[in-house]
Amino acid sequence: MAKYIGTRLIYMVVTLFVVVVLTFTLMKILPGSPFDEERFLRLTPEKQAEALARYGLDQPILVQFGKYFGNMLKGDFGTSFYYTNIPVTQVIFSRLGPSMLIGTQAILIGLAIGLSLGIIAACRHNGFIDNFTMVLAVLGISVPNFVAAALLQYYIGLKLKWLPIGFWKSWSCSVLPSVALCFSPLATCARFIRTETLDVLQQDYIVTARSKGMSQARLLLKHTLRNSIIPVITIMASMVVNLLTGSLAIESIFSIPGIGGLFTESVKNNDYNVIMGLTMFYSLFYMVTILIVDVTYGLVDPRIHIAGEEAGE
Amino acid sequence: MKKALFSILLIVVLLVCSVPTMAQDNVLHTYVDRVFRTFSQIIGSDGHLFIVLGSISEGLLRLDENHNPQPALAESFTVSDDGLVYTFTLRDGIQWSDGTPITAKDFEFGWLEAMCDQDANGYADVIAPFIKNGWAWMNHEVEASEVGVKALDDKTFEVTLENPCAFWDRFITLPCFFPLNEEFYRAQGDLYATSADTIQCCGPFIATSMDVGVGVTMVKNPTYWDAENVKLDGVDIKVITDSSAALNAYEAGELDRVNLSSIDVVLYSSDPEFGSYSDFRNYFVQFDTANPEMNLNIRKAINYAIDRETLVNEILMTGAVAAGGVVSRGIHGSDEVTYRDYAGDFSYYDPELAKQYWDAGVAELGYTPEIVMLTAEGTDFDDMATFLQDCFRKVLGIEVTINKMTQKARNEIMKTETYDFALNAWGADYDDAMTWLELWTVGTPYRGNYLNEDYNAMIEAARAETDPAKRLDLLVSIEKKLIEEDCVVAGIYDRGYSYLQRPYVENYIVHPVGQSAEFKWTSINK
Repeated sequence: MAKYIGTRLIYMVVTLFVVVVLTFTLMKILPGSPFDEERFLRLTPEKQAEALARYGLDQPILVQFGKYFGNMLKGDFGTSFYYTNIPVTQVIFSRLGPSMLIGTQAILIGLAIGLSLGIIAACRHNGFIDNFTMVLAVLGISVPNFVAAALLQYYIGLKLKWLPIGFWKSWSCSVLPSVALCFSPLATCARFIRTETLDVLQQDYIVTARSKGMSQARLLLKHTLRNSIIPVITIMASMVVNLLTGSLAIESIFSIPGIGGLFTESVKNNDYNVIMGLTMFYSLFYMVTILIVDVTYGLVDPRIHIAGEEAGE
Repeated sequence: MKKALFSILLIVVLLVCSVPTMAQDNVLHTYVDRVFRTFSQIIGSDGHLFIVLGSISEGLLRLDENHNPQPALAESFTVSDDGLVYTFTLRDGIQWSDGTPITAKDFEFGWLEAMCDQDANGYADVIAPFIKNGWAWMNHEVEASEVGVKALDDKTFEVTLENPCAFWDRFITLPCFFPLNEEFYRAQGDLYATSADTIQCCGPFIATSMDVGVGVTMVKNPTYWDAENVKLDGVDIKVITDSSAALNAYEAGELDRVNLSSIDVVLYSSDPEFGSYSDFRNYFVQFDTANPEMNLNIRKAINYAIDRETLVNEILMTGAVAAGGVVSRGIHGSDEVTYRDYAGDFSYYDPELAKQYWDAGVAELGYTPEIVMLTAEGTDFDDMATFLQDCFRKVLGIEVTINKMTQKARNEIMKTETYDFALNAWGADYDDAMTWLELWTVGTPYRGNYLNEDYNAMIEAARAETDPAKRLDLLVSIEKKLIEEDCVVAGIYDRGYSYLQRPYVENYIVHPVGQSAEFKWTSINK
C-alpha cells in the first residue's frame, strides 16, 4: 500500500510539472500584457522598461519560466498583477473558503438526499417514489444550476424572505448557493444508486440473506449499499473537484467572493501569477482527490486490489 | 435511512429557522459592481475605489453637491498671481483615526509617493506633469526636495505647479492627493491597505472591514473635523457583480440604491424611485489614421453617419447622452457655460453629409473598402456595435463586420495590426477637456497612431495659457481639429446611469468624475 501511494505521488509530481510547463506556455500566448495598456503606452520607454523589468517580463520566456519555477520550489508564487502587489497565495486562499464551504455543503446535501432517494426508489421499484426520483434525477441533471439559483434566490430569498438572497456575511448566506449547487450531485447519485441497488437486490446472496430472515434495514445497509456505492465513488472524484473549486455562475448570482470568479477574472486580466497558482492548485487538488478515491475503493470493496498485487481469487 | 431522513429534516429546520439579518437603521447600504483591485490611494485609479477612499479619507478640498471644491482638511488656500504657487493652511486639530495628528508632512509624503509610483497603474503619469519637477521625480531624475510639494510647517503646505492649471482646486479632490503618514505607511510595508487594520482613516467614516471581493463596511468617524454634519452612523458597500442580483437585493431591502440595466429601465422608468444621470465617460470611434483605406472622407462619413440620439434614447436608455465630440457634455468650460455648450457639436448625425463624404472617399480609393469594427466584450459595447452596424447599413449602404474579442485581445490587434476603427471609451481623470484632448499627443495605436506636430503645439499652447477665456478657445480649436478637420475620432455618447433609490435616502451625491458617489452629507430619514 505504502509503495503504491509512493509511486502515485511520484507520478503526481511529474504530472504537475507537465501542467506547469503547459500552462506557462499557453498563458504567454494569451494576447496582451497584465498592464493597463492604454496607460502603459503613454509612459516613456524607460518607465515601460522599468515596469517590465520589475516583474521580470523583459526576460526571454525560458528565463522567466526558470525564475518562476525556482521561486515556486521555494514556495513563492509571486504577487498578483490585478490585485496590485498582493501575494498570489493570499489572493487564492482568501477566495477559497467560501467556495469550499458551499461545495462541501452541496456535496453533503446531494449525497444524503441522493443516496436515500436512490435506495428507496430501488426498494419501491416502479412505485411513486421511484418515478418521482427519476423525474428529479432528469431535472437535476438537465436544469443548469444557475437556473435553480435564480429561482431559489427569487422565491426563497426575495418573496418568502427565509434566507438572505446573497452576499457573504453569515453562515445562512451559504445555504441557498449550496442548495442550488446540490441538485446535480443529488441527481447523479440517486440515479446511480437506484440502478446499482436494483441490480444488487437481484443477486443470489441477497435472495439468500432475505430467505434467512434478515431484516430489510440490515440487508440494505450492510449488504446492498456497500456493493452499490462503488460507481458513486468513481464519479465522486470529478464531482468533488467541480464543486469545491467554485462555480462562476453561482458565485456571481449570489455575490459570493469565491474562486470560480477569480479564475475567469485572472485569465481575462492576464494576471499571470494567479493563473499559474490556480491551475496548479486545481491540478493538485484533482490528483489528490483521485488518489483518495482509488484508495477508498480498496476499503469499500476488498475484491478491488489497488496495489496491482496478484488477484487473490 | 434514518440518518438520511434526519439530514433532510435538519436541512428543512435550518431553512426555516435562519432569518436574514435585517438592514440596520441609519446605515446606508449600497454596492459597487466590480471587485476592488486594491484599497491603496497610491496605486488605485478606479472610480469605485474612490467612493471608498473619499469616505474614509479626505484631501485638502472636497467636492460639494454641485461638484464645486469646498475646504476640507485645508481650511483655506491662496494662489500666487502667476497661478503657479498654491499655499494651503490646514485645519487645527485634524487627526488620523488612531489619534496621530495630520500635518503638512503627510501631504508632502502622500503626493510624492503618488507621483513616484513604480507601477504602470495608478495616477502617477496623470498627476506628475502638473507639479513642478513632478515628471522628473517620477523618472528618478531629481531629489524629493526639488519637487514642487513642500511642508513649510505643520500647518502649511505649498504646491508649485509646472504651468497654471485652471482646474487645480477641483483636481486635488482625487484620492491620490490625500495625505499619507510616512511612518504608518512604511510600517505596513506590502500589507498597506490590504485590510481595515492596515489603512489609516481621516474622513467622515472609518473602515471596519475591507475585502476586495466582499466589500467595505464603515462607521462614522467621531474625530472627523466636521462630524456634526455627518448624518449616517455607517455605510455598507457590497461587491455585487451581477446586475439582476443587485436588483433582487434592492427588492429584498438589502440595498438602498441600485443601478438598472437597459432591460430593467423599461420596467421601472415610471417608478417614483427611478432616476438617471450621465457622467464623464465618453464612448468613441477610434480610427486608425495609419490605415490608407480609412481616408479622411471615409472617416468623416462615419462620424456623420451615427444616429446618436436614437442610440441613447431607444437602445441604451440608461440616461446616456449623445456626445458632441470626445469631451463629455457637462465638462466645465467657464463659470457661465459648460465646455460643450460653448464649443458646439463636432460629432453629430447628418446622413446626407455622411453619404457625400462616403462617395468622395470611395472615389478617392477607387473601390469600396470592406470595413471591420473592432470591439471588446461587455454589454455597453455590444449594444452599440450592432446599432452602429445598422446605422452604416441604412445611411451609407455598407455592411460593416463586427470583430468582437476580449479587451486584451482587442488591444493586441490595435497594437500589432492595421485596423479600420475600434470602439473605445475614456473616463475623465479631472473636470476639464484636456483630460481627453491630451490623449492624442503620443501617437499610440490606441489613439489611432495619430501624431501631429500642429496638434501637439496647440496642446502645449493651451497648457501654457493663463487666461481662462483664451484657454477655452484654444481647447475648442483643438477638439475641432481632432474631430472636424482630421477626424481621428468620432464621439458617440457619454455614459449614463439609471437607478432606483429609496425615498428615505437624501443627499446621495453623485459626481461625474473622480469619486463617483459621496456619502458625507447623505442621510436616512425613515
